[in-house]
Amino acid sequence: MRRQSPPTFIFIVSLILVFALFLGLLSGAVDIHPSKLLGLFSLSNMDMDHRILQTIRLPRVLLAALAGACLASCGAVMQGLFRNPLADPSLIGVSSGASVGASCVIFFGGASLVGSGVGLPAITIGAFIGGLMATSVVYRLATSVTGTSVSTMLLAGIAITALAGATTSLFSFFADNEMLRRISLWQMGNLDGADWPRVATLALVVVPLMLVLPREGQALNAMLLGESEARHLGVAVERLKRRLILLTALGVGVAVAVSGVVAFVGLIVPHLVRLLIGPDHRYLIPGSAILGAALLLLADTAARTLMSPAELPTGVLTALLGAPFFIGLLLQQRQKRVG
Amino acid sequence: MPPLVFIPKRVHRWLLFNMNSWGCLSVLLVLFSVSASAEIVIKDDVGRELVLSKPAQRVISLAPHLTEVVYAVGGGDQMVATVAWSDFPEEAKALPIIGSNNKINYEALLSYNPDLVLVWHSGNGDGIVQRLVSLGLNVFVSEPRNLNNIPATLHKIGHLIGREMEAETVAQQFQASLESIRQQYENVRTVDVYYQIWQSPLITFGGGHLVSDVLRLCGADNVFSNAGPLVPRIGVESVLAVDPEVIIIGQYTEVEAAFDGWRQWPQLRAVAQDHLYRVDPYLLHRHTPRIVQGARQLCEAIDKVR
Repeated sequence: MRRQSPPTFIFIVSLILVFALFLGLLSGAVDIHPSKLLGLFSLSNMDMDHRILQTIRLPRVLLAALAGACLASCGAVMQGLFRNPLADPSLIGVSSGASVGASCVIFFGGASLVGSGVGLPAITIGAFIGGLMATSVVYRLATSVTGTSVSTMLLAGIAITALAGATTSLFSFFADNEMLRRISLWQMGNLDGADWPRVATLALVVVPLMLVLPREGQALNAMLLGESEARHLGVAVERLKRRLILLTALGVGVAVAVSGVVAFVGLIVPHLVRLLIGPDHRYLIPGSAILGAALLLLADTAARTLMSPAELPTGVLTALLGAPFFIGLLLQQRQKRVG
Repeated sequence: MPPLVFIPKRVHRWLLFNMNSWGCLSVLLVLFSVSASAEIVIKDDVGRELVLSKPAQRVISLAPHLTEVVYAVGGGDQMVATVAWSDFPEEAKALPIIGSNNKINYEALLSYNPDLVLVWHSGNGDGIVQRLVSLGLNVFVSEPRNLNNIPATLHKIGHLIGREMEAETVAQQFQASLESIRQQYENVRTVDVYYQIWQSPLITFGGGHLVSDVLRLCGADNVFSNAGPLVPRIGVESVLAVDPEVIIIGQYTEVEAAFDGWRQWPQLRAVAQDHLYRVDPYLLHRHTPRIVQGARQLCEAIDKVR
């Protein structure tokens, strides 16, 4: 495939993102004329179309875009850090840890807490703490004086994921019907709880993250050569790794907390971007962020409208797209090894 | 009604084998009289044929509605165990529990030595049915989808546990009550109703669900009867788009939160005219004769809009 120049690529994906934003805002069960978008931010207008745009579609579109950007750029960073194209934030157990944290809050908090006003922040904090705990356990296991062992880290991630799965099954066993429904719907990955508090929570983390992560591009490029080579080039490797692990844990934890486990965005998007513009992290990270936002936005719009009036969970759609992609990558790697 | 006289395969083979030594007609006559008094043959809701040599005396039910049906036809004393959530009638709560809808403790089940196990197909799943059959148990599979299935279930279960008379009485009462409701709302204006079973995310019932049948009985139309799945997830916008006249909350919990959620949309006809009502889901979501009470509740709520 012919490679694009990175600035051209970023320009094109930005156009796609803008298109996806408008498409997301204009599609739904109620037909809304595009001219209504003009008064989108007027607070005095109480007409129903405006309320739908302001309280349903805009928060949902923003939540999908922010979550997509967050997951895809964290994926790009993890893949650089692990020097492994299959590394996805969920692989080191962050998503699973966050999932357990959220399930814990739903299970032990009970219906009274979850149904009340503090339910959402509590679930968010639970998911975030779970994600961070999982990451720090994996990090402690895999890190020693000689450096970080990528394989130990991946294996520890697998162990954490298994433990998380078992814990959730155990909760499901003891939970009553209603908790069970909440836990399982939450795990399927859904953006339909989108509201302004969620958007604000996510934006509070994602916006600074988008500013910080691309700055690590040069150091990650050096890491691609190997850890000792990066050290020779003047990169403080251990500090860089620690910082990136914390940042991605933060990003993925919050994304999972507000939108459920949306699988494979962190895997597919950086791959596509690498195919199109090459592995330079200075462009790969922002490119992934923008394309990730557009992709999750389009997937979510499809999930909302394909079966209208019924809605599909967004996570199911991304997994349907992502799993074959993942298997394709595995096959490709295998052929490389054999050939 | 199932045939009262039926020649089971085993007996049929024996019959053929003995055909030479016995007079054909006399054997048949003897057999007929024996099987007429002893054999119970019922075709269950998934088309399996169940043969009992005598009415079941040790019944295990794996679904709350089936437990209720057994009690309704007067067979409560024949129940030996059930599953979680079998909470009606009051006596049923004292029954030993051998699992939940999808997790059955087979050892515990066998320890009660049941001669009949009642299973709910969509609630328990095919795996459980297969397992019970392979354990050599008498399994009756129930899969009710509409109101007419309820008297049929009463008859079949009544027959299996030797309570035909009681079943007939209960079924007739049930049908009479249904008929009176049907007549009451026969010539009324059709009302568009949205029936909510959960608010976050919004979940409703599709057209194939029992509740949609009850809505038709009330002279109402489920606005999501064409949504596809039996229990579809929908978006707030979909409800705004169809603008129902009445919103019914059939949730077990968080009913007030559900009302408050909809009151944020005064543009909806149902909200503007305050036609938001709650109904008892324990009455409406179970395939038992008690659904008549639930149906009355639902119909009266909907009728307020007319």
